[in-house]
Amino acid sequence: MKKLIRAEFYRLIHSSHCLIYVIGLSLLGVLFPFMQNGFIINRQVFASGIPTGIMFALISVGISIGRHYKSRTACYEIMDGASAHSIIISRIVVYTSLIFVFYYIPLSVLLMIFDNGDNLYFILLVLIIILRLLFFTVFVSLIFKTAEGAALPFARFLIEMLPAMLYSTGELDLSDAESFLEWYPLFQCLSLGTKTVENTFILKIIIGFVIESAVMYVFAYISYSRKWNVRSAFT
Amino acid sequence: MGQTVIEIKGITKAYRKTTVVDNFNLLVEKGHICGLIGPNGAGKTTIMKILAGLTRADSGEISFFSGREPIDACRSKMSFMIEAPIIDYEMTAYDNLAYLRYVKGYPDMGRIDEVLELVGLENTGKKKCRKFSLGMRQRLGIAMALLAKPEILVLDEPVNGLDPEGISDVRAMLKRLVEESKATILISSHLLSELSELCTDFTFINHGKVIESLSAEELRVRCRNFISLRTNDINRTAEVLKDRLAIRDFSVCHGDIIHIFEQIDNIERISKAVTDSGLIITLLYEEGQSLEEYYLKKVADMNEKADKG
Repeated sequence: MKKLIRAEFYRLIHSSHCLIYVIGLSLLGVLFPFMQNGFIINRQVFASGIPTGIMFALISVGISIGRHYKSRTACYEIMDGASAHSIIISRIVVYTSLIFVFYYIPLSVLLMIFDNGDNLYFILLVLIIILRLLFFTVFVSLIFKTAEGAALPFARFLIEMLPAMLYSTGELDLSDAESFLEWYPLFQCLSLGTKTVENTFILKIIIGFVIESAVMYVFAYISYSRKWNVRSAFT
Repeated sequence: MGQTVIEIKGITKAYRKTTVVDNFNLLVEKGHICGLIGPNGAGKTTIMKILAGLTRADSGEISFFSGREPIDACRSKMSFMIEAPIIDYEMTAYDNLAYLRYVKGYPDMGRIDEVLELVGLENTGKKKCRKFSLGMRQRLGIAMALLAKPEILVLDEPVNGLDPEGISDVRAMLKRLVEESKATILISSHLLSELSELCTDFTFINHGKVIESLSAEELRVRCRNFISLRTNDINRTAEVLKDRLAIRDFSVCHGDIIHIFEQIDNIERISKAVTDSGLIITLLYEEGQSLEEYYLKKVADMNEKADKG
């Protein structure tokens, strides 16, 4: 798996400045709350800026993975006998480390600088939400195997974001559906900025992440196994 | 018989209702160059994709290196170039090779410059592959196939788009690879003439089925020119050929026709010697066919059978 991780980093650095796009859009996502509100900023503003910010970063991830399939360079991994598990996990490792370093860490540091409150829970729970959205993007890209596959995570953002934004601004009364919407990551994100965190809410964030990631992993694995004659065991 | 490194048993593959590979069998021995010859759409690429793991066969079995290791593990010792070369057009030739070096975990960085020089792309520098000509892309594809010094090389129409000099270079390169590293090559083409000087074995394929598998020597024997001779006394004619003309390389076919493989240019001398011996010639002519004619006849025969069926 190490060689697949190294190869993916090499490709990102040398092909069409993919890495620059991922880093640039991630940092742009981090700075998005400042674009909206200037430097007078707190946890709530950060929380409302995360959905749009992470969308920038994840679109670049989806396109970078999609380009790998469009150029057919992904076939080299199959022709070298790599296992489907190794391929999927190597992609997760590469893009998680990039998003962690260039989105999550700067976001956390800026939050601690601009908000003096106790933000540890917020930071940890945001990490889980970001990972859930990142894994969804990676798995969808692996399933679709085209750059156009990045459109599906984008569509998900739009579908989830609209009611979440209307709810957070008070324009829509969704109090009856609140406990249902709390299962969705963008709504979770906005709620983290405004609400006191309860144990059931934390559980919903964790369980939602685990179930969605596991289901999407299985779909990605089945997609690989059906399309190509890949090894089923780890290398 | 040497060690079998590629074994395909009864592979069948259909796309919807069209069967593109039909109960296909093939054995390739270590150190051999096996030519898979067939017209466009014969199923050559599909067979190679199945070997590479890029397509699943509906039925049948494949094994590499006599089945000692799982198929996927064997693939790391193999290289494939199937259809158009797989290249990231936004990278340079060097970067493409460096990327593949990481995928294959090949340790020697110096090998990249070596293969670039081997295929004549050492001076491409920072030029992106999207600016390469068709021939340059093909050369890079071959360099990528050769990068990790594979034990088995599977090449699908590798000389497509190359000029005559390029084709000759590729042939020499592949011959050298087999001589130096005892690699095994499975190579496809729709033109027998492209591979006739290179391959040690040939498998003709059409409509996904094997028409014939034979060695280069067998093919040459079947394609060489000869004189057909029939007389009123076949035994005496054989004696005349041996004693008066010193011809040793001939055979008697169907009981009454002699095929003479020597002194084909001396048909008049043979005729004179036979008639001077009091024999009556009832049939005398030269026949034979080129490799291409032989192959085309096989394909035509199969098509005819299929039409009748």
